[in-house]
Amino acid sequence: MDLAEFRPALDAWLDEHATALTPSGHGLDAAMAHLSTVKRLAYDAGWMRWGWPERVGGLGGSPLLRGYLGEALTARGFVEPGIYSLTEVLAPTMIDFASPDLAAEMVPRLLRGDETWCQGFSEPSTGSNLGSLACKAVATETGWRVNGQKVWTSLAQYAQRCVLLTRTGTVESAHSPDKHRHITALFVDMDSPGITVRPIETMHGAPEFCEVFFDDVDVPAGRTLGSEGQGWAVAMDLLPYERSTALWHRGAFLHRRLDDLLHEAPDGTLAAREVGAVLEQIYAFRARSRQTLHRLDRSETLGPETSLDKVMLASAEQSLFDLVADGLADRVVFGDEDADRVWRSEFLYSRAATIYGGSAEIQRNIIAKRLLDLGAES
Amino acid sequence: MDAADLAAFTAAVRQAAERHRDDFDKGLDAVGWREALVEDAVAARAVFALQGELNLSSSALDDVLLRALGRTPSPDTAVLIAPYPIGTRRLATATQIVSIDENGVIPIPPGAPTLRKASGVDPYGGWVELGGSFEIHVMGGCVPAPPRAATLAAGRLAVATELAAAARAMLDLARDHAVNRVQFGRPIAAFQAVRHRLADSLVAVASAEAAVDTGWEETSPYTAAMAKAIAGRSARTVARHAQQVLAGMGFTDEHPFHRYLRRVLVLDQLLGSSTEISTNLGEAAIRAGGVPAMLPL
Repeated sequence: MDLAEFRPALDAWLDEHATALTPSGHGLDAAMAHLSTVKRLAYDAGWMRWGWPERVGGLGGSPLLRGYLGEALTARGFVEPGIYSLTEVLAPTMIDFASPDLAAEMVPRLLRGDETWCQGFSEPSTGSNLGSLACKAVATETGWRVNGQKVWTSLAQYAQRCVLLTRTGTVESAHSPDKHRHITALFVDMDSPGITVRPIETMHGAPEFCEVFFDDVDVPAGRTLGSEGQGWAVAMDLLPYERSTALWHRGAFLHRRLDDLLHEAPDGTLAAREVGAVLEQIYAFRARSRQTLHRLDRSETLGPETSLDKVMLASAEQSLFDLVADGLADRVVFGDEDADRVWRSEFLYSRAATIYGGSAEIQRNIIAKRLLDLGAES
Repeated sequence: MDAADLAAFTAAVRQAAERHRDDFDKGLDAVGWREALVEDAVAARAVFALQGELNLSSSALDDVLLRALGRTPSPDTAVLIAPYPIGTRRLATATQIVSIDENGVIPIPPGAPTLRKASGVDPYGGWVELGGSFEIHVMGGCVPAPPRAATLAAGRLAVATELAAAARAMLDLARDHAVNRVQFGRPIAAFQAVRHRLADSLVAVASAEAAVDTGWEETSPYTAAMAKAIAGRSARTVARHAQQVLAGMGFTDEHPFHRYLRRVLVLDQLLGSSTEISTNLGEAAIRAGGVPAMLPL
């Protein structure tokens, strides 16, 4: 199956099943339930399995197929890209670092929509400086005992599993020059005794981020991803996926919402030049991200250059929703209809586009150091 | 041309550019540029990327437009580059002048138009302005007139290619300065304010390059317009950041930066400026009540 075959066949299937795939209801609970429905339907029909290795329940083929599936689902409004694309971030990590048996057991559950997984990275004292994380795992006879706290963990209240970064060196190692060497990644069952999840109310109205507390949580040794001390490599392996396929899906979302805006904005509320500039930003992002996906398809290693994709997408998202705030001002500011709430929520969420997943400043630091080779910062 | 041919041609053009820095047209003649272009439009990609990188000027744009008009590129035929009555240096010596708007010919003589060097902001570019009043003789059936859109697309893609390369060259100048210039006991590249300007410049360069690559992969009036607008705006963004990082040095006549800036300002205006294209794209989207189809994966 290649993209040229996949595209029309998937399009036809999506058209045929549009009724079942169209979300109904509002709010995060409804969106999560619908996401599971969509993944299950797409998995059973095979679409959700293309682009994943056969050893984890996939049907093989290029990652471009996954790129197109997420794009097509997003462009039709069948899924929200943020919650859908977590699969793109977490499944490759499991495939690359979990034991083959564990990956074969778990990944199909994620693809089929039976389970939700979350990513336990950020901590209260560890935002941009991920390498200094403190959540501690101590070796026991059977594996690890975890104590600490995570924050900004997306969808933890729905999750059955967590890809968790822990410190397995000394407490002091968090501040040592080789702090990255003492991090270990674990795959944790969220129903383990000692885990408490507390959703965070946010300004855009959907509590998709959580605080997660670990109080003497036992994790079996077989749940170590990679080997002890390899956690930083796990995190670095995951980020390029977060900045390739997942960003591509979000780009499709921006394209759809610009289309909606042009359809819905009253006459005279949009300035032509600004509309053109946003269209160009989204286009430039897609042109760039498309190249990134094709590099992934050629099995090239993605690295810090994907920070450029991330900056381009975040800038395009904020430009688009600034335009929304002008073109649909009445609805964003005072509107009471469900559709108005969605525009308002998306506008507010767009303010975080330059914060989550590595802030705009961190991306620029990476670009300066790794891509422009500007040497150390003073 | 396959990839190997294109690589060989690109290497030959680079050598020719080094040998004929002050007269790149001569260098292009030496490598058989027009023959290569007639064979495959992609030859322009190599030439315009090099012009941007090395801040060269030539009459290659005339040839690109002539080819797109269905005419034979020739050193004797110059083209007026819309929207100005402006041409490359070839305009001063050509025996025939072509207007891309009508695919028509402006006869010289009789009623010989006046020519003057168009110094303007870029006196190094060899730009020539056609003055006085002149008539355009539309060739009608003699020369098939391809749609104006396809001619504009070919020209815009060539200019966009040069703009993207010029943007990268300006960033390189600023980057080299930042790592070598020492103040407060360290290179100014160590300061985050400087680093973030250069990072933003690389984002702009990456945008321009992605749009230009896409234009070459899937050439159409739409992808070429996007490439021209994005490369034009990106080049001006990079120029602004690079100028600030280069500071006093970049303001001198001696430093090469200003030559890039000058040429970028001219190129952005040719065949539709970034502002004009953005406005047109926006107007079309507002009129249609929706956006054009997405770039396919």
